[in-house]
Amino acid sequence: MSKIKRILKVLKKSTLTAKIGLIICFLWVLCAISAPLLSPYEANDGNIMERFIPPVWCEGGTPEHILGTDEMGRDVLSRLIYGSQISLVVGIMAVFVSFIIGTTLGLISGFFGGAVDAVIMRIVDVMLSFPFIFMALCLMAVLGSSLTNVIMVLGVTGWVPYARTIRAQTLSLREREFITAAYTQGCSNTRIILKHVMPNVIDNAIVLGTLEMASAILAEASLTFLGLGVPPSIATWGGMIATGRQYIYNAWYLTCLPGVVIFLVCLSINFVGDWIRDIRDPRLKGTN
Amino acid sequence: METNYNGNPLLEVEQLKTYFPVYGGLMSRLQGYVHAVDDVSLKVYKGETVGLVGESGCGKSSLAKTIMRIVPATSGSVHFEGKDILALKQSELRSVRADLQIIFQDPYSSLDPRMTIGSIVEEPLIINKVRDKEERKKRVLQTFDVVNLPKSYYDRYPHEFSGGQRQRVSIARALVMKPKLILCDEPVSALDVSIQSQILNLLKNLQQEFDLTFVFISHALNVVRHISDRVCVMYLGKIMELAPSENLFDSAYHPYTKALLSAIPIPDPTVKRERIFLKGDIPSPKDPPAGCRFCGRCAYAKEICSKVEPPLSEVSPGHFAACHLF
Repeated sequence: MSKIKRILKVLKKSTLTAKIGLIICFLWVLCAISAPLLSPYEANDGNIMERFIPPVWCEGGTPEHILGTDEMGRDVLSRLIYGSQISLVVGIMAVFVSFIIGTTLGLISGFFGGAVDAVIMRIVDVMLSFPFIFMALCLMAVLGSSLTNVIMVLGVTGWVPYARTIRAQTLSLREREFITAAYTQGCSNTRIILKHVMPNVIDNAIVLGTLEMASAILAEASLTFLGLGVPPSIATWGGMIATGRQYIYNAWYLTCLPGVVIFLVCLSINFVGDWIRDIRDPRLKGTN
Repeated sequence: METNYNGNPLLEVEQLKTYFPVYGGLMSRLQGYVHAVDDVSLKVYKGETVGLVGESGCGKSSLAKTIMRIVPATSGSVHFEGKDILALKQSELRSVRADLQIIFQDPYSSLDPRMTIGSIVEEPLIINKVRDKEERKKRVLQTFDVVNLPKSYYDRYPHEFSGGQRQRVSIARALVMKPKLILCDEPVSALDVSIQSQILNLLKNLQQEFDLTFVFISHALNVVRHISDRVCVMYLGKIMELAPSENLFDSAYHPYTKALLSAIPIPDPTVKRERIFLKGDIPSPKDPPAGCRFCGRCAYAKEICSKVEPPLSEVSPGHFAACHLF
């Protein structure tokens, strides 16, 4: 009980942007979890007689399809709600995979230095010199298009920024006296890395993670747009933009609505990331 | 307690050398070595405080860091309670560390900003496998008491405290395992004067209470005089003079020590005394002069000084100096 109270207290003290971010993210997760309950229609149920109905506030809109219908007569709102599942899973899982790989390699590279560092940094250079979309296309072409593969590809290609930031931070932290002090206490390297280095560098990775989560959602959208992402039978925000693009002159809402949703979600994730960094920093505790 | 200078020393440093390689140029070629600690031998006996003084860059901190195995030694040995620290494996070293602790100069950088004061002081206990959580907390709070930190600080973070309080936390961390020897690497030079005396008196009291041995590094001679039983003067990586505190401050032999002592301000404007000003700069430790390290700046230098290096020899009982004049 007291834990809930404490969380509520922290929430009450957080900034307006953090509140907005948290509310939108909460709605996003809620949509994803209860999609079948919330959406008025099935995502792929189309009525070919009801194509290109505009949203309700436009001329010719009907309250039956609040956000209109697409080129196959499918309800846009329902597709957006179902699409939130994919973006949630892709965003979280891809970031999780690259966060783990990147942070681990960055810590090892920065802390031990020398040959280990040189090898890891050369791998980073190789990764950076490949155009992302090319590498992703190659991998997707080899692995075949499925949701798991999209996550794996985004995870495996996305760890470089984490490794670089964490390494740079670790390098500077390693010279600080409290690390030396931990060593003279008899801490093992593992303990120093996990107990002293990681808590001091992880916040940047968390903020980076929220930024990358937004770009993972966008990358999934790009891959789907190119036809190598999630199979077209699954409704996704990226896929909606991709198909809507062909009708952008007579049905703007088919691209704009998913675009607005992606924008809102990515922005909210960034707000939440900043908030997490602030509440984790003991120096900012009790300040506004 | 009375220090027994005839028994086995607690810490024995023998012919210790710490050289740092210098790389430079386009291809990062090895250009030479900085002779940070150059052939230093020193014995520290149980219960005493050995002061280590010298100007910046003379190698006093490097000596401490080499003893703690923070930087690798080039050659020589360090025996602590008979065990050669430099030859121990990391796992064996860990058990020695409980008895051999260090306090750092800068209390702002030596405490992990993400850990509470309590967990900082608790950490040595965790490492040394004190498994019972209650027991650990009890010992941490006892140590807080010893260094005059209120118990309420347990769950607070380092940034909430002033330099003096942080240094108390550092001392508590060093003390919690009840070590035998503490190396104090300029523990008060980052603090202001009123706090300095508090911390020095605290260290003195702790020494009495827990039978501690200190190696006290400082560039402030008045601080060293206040706390040390014996004082060791270093210059360019070498020991120039080593003597009991009163002897050194009243009747120093070495010209370098005399020059250092004449730089201590006397808070009495009527006292006139002769200041000895050293000419020239301290030579580069990368390329130390032949013969006596000090001969280029010494007013009494003879011909032999620039050719033969003077050994550290006993001039009067217990008073050692490395100088051809004696």
